Amino acid sequence: MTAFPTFFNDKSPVPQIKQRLYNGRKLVVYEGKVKIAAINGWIDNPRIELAKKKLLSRVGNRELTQTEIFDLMKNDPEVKLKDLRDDLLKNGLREPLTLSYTGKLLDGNRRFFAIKYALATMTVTDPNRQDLETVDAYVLTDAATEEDEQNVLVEENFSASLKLEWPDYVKATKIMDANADGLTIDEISKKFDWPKSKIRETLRIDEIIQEFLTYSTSPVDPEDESGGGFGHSENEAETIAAKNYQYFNEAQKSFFDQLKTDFDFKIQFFKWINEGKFSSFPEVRIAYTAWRTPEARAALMQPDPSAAKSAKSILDYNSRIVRSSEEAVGRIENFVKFLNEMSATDIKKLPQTSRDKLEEALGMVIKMNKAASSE
Amino acid sequence: MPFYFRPDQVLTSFKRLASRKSQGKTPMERTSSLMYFLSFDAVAKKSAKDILDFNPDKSEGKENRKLIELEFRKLVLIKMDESEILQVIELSKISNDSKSPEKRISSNFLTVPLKKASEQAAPYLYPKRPSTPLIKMGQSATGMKWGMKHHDGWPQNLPKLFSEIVAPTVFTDLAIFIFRDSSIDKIENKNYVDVLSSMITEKYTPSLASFWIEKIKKEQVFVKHIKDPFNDFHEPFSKCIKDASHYPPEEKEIINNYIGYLENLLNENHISFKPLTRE
Repeated sequence: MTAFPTFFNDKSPVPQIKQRLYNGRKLVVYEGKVKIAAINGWIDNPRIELAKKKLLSRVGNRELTQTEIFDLMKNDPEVKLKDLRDDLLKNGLREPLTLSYTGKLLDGNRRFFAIKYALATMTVTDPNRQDLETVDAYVLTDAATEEDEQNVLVEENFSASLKLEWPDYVKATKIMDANADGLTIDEISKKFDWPKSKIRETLRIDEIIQEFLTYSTSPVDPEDESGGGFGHSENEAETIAAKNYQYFNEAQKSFFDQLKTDFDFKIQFFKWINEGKFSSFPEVRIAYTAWRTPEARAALMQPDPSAAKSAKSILDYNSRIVRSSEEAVGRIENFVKFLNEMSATDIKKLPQTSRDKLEEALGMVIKMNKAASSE
Repeated sequence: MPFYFRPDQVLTSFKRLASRKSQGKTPMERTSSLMYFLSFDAVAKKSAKDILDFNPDKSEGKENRKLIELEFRKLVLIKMDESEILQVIELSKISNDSKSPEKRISSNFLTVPLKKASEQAAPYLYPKRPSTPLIKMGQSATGMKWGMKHHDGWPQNLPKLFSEIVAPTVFTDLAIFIFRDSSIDKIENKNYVDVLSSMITEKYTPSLASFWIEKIKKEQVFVKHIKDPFNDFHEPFSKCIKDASHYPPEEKEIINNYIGYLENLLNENHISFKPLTRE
C-alpha cells in the first residue's frame, strides 16, 4: 500500500485502515482526520446542476472555480447550506466525509461547503475553529477502482437514509421536561432549535394530553354521569396518547378553546380517542362541529368503524349550498325515497320531538306548495 | 364540631388557577371580571333580588355598594396590616398592593363601567374583554339607571373566562380558594364535593350555585390533588403564604431588570447558568 494522501492531517493520529461496506461491496478505507483547506468541493455535484447552468450562461462555458461553486451553494435555497452551517457550529460534524484517494469528495460535498461557510464566519481566535479545520473522513485507498468510487456515490447519495427521527411524542416530551424545569419559551426554542410558535403549540398539546392521561387513569365509576375514567394504567394511557399525538395536535389546532371550556365535549373527545374513532386528520378536525350538530353527533356516536367518516360526510353535505333547482330536486327525491321506505314502526321509534318537527315541516311544505300552485 | 380547609390544600388549589399566559394584562383582567361577578352574585343572593340598584344618591344604592365592596374584599384579601395589603390581583398569585380591595372595586368597576352604563342608552355588557358578558347594566338592560343584573349568557360565558387556565379543575379549585378560611359546621360529611356544594349554595344565587356544583361534580374525574383536605382547627391561609412579593411593585421591577441585565452579561461571556427570569 502506498503513502497516505497529503490531505490527511499530519499532526493528528495516523489514519487507521478499515473495511467498510458500500452498496454490498467491501472496500478498504483509511479512517482519519483530513485538512479542509487541502481538499476541494465537488464541482460536478448534480445537486447544483441547475444553478450551475444559469451561472455558466452568464459567465461563458468554462470550469467554475471553488469560490464560484461555494457561492452557488450558499445562495441556492434548495441546498439549505446556512441551516447545515448553523448545525455544524452547534454540533460539529456528525458524519465523516468520504473521499477518493485523489481527494475527490464522494460523499459530504454539502457538509464540506457548510464547514467552509462556518469557518468563514468564525474568528481566527475562536476555540472551536480547530474542530472544523480538520474533520473526520474515510478515504479510499489507491487500490480502489472507478467502480468502487461509483459504489460509494450510489450508497451515500441514492439510498434513502435509514436514520429515524424520534417520534413526535418523544420530542414533545423533551420540550415539556424543559418547560417543567423552568426554562422560558425563548430558552427552549434555543435549546431545541424549534420556533417559539412550535414550542407554544407543543405545550398546548401537552395540556390536552395531560388531561387525557389524568382522565384515562381515573377508575371507571358507573355512578359518575360520564362513567368515570377508563381505568387504564399509566403505561396504557401514555401508549394511547403517544399513538394519537398528531390527533391531539389536530385538536389543539382546531378546537383547543372548546376543549378547555366545554367539559362534556372534552370527555367525549377523550372517549373517541380511546375508542380509536378517528382514522384521519379531517375526521378529527370536524369533531367539535359534529358534536354541535345533532345529526352528525348521532352518526359519530355509532360504534361502527366508519362513524367519523359518516359524520364528516353529513357535515360536508350540510355545508353545501343548493346551487340549482336540479340539486334541490335531487335532494327532495332522496328524502322522499327515505320517507317512503320508513314503516309506521320506524316512525314510532323516532323521538316525539323529531316527529313533531317532521309534521311541522310537512305542514309548511303543503301550505307553500298550495300558494305556489295558485300563483 | 366545625372544620376547615387545610391551608396547604388551599394553596395547592390556588396555584392550580395559574394562567398559561404568565405576562400581560389578560389574566388580571379576567380575575377582576370574575371577582366582580361573584361579588355581585353574592349580594344578589343576600338581597334576594335579581336586579340590584347601585344608585349612589339612594340609600339602597349606597348599601349595595357597601355590600359588593365587602364581598369583593372577602374574595381577594389575604392579609392586611399597617405594613402591607396582600391580595389577589391575578389568580394563583398574591400581590402586595397599596390600594385596598374596596378602593379597587370602587375605582375600577363601580366608578368606570357602572357609571358609563348609567349614562348610556344601550345596555352595558360586562366584561367587554374578552367579549364574554356575565353582567348587564344600565337603564335599558335593567329598567334602572344604576341597575345591574346577570347577563342571560353568563353560563356559557363564565367557562370562557377560564380558557387560559391550564388545570382542568378550575371550578373546584376556585371554590376551595374562596372558602379558604370558612368554618364548615353545617355539614357532617367530610367529602369535599358535599362541603363545597353546601357552601356555594349558602353563598350564591340558586342558578350560579347549581351551575357551579354541577361543574365540580363533573371535574371529580380530574381531581387527583385533593386528599385529606380538612383540618379540625383553623389555620389562616395567610399563614402559609411565603410571599415573594413583599417588595413594592416598582422595586420588584428594578430587581427583575437587574437580574435580566446580569443574565445577559453571563450569556455574552458564554458562562452557563440556570436562569431565574421567566418569559
